[in-house]
Amino acid sequence: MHLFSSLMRANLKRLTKYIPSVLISVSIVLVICTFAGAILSSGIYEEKSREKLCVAYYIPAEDDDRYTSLAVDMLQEIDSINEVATLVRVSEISDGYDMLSSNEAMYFIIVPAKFISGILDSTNPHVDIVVKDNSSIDSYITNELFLSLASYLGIAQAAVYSALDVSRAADFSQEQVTEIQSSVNLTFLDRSLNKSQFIQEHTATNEGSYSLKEHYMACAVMISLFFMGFSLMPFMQGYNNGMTNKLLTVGICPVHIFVQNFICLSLSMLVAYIPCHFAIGIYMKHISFAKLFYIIPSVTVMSLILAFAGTITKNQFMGNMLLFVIVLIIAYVGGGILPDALLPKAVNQISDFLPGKYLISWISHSIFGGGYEL
Amino acid sequence: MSFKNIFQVSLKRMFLRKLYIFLLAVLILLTFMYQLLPMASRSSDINVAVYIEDDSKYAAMLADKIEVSTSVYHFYMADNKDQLITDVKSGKAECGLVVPSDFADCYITGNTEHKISIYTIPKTTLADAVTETFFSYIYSICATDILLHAAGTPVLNDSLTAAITGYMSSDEIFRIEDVSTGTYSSTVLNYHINLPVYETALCLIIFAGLLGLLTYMTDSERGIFIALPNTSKSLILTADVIASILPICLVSAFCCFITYGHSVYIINVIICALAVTPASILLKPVIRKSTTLSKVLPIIMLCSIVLVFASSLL
Repeated sequence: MHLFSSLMRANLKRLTKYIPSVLISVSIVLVICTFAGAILSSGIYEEKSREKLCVAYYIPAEDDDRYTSLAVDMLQEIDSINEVATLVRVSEISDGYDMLSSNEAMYFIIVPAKFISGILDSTNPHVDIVVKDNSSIDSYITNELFLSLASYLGIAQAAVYSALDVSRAADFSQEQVTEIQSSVNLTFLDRSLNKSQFIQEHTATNEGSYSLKEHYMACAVMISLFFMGFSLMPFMQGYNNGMTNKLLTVGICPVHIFVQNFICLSLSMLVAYIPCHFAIGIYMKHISFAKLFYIIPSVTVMSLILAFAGTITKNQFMGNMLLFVIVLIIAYVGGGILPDALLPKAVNQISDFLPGKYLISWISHSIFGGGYEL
Repeated sequence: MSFKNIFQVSLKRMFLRKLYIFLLAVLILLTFMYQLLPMASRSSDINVAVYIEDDSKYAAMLADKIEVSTSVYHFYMADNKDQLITDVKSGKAECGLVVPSDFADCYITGNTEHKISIYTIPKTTLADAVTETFFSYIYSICATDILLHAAGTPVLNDSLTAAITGYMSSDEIFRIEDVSTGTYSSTVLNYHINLPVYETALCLIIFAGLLGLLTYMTDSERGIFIALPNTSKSLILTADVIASILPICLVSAFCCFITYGHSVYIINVIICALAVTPASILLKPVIRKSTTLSKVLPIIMLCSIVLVFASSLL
């Protein structure tokens, strides 16, 4: 025990000489990984835009009644229409057909005279819809959109007629009938047009309770701490065969050396983590002091892995290469290179059994869990 | 000493390295795996994940409506909210809709406390169009109760229910006929599961260059070349680096041809090899000791991997 503590003291003394190079290497790797993480988090779910269809429509010039104009204006304001199609009004029916034949438009809608007035008085004049190509997916999407919008209109119409018929038949006073009618009209108008107030949009790109950027920053810290092992590999492999044999004679076996390596690595990793914690905190404008020591479980696991790689290999080169491969596997399977959802199913299944996922989660918790916004 | 002899010796020594053989084996194995993996298939259906937290009668009606839907959007029930989000993130679903508990009651009364959550990613292009269809289902399911709520006269409830049910199935209300020719026949796209053969090849070429340099530096530090003039040392360095890069480059070109079937990647591999060779040789005056190279090699590799994979990912 006395020899073990003496060896520990000697090793700690040796370790102090490595600390500057550890801090430099951690800083370099952290900068590289943070930069890569920032690029990946902003570009991995690339934005796409769909080419809009052109829908031509014709309204007779003499039918410039306010209802039809209002309906067209409302249609042009609807988000789903704007997402899928561009509405273009033509002055002559022949112009619409010309647009179809020249592939300028996919749909041509011929609105009859007194269209909206007709819906209001239940004559429901026919709308002619001419489709250039009804086999493409875009055509199906537009068709689906028109069917949905028409169903809103039809259901609202059914409700308005029902309220009118029933309230009139119930011998209500004219005021009561008007009141019921207004209430039904406004309610159905509200439910069909103001859908946005019943919808909450969320971006699904975040990883668990942390944003994708925070996730990648935590991964950058994990890789940086792992890669400080490259600087500490000579420290871990400081015992050659002769020294190991000599130590055996005084009761210090390879397990003791492994434990020494583990303790020294844990301490140096804690020292290296503090600047990482605050550097990432400042970069992400979120500083947490209280959760600084939540890193201890991660440091313990990472030190064990580093000590393992350093102890079982015979030379620095092999130790570095082994560490490199181990870290890449841990980072990839743990979702540190690609988000979990983009990983193959088989990889996702084994990720629960490897430490990467948990390490990133613990580091995220230490850096971003609670604290102060800068 | 001719360059040919030096090169032959360097090549033989390189093939005696287990690590080098392992790298070549990785590349060949990756290519064979790519060829042997079964073709994956992906439908061109526009999938929309739905998760209903509501357990009212409306939820059951909505689930039934979704099941019999002939919409171009393929609505399917996700097992849970996490699964829904994962499906959206992975691109399996165009978007995901989560219907909260008591949503239908709130929608009927106009209470906006409980909202439908729509999950999207920047790739999503049809969220509003999908929502339009989904809400038309909810609208038709809740229409009768919205009417009863709006009328606010319980004595007329039965008459109103009968009237709206009659109108909704009659020809008197406005409709648009389906102009499509039935259900959209989605195509099934067959594709190979993408393995990063090209990216791995580029990284291995960079690694091979550094390995060649490391071999030369180790020999040099042992004092093997001490009696040689500088020109011979330069020849040996060049031969070591080329002997290290050439086999990997040839195998990479072959693997890329097998995997991708066209020459663009082969040209890129050759260009990479041509760039890495002088870069590795020029690194010699910068990194003087093999121990230093051993330390910085993983960092150089990390940068290479980040650059190669990030450029192909983005």
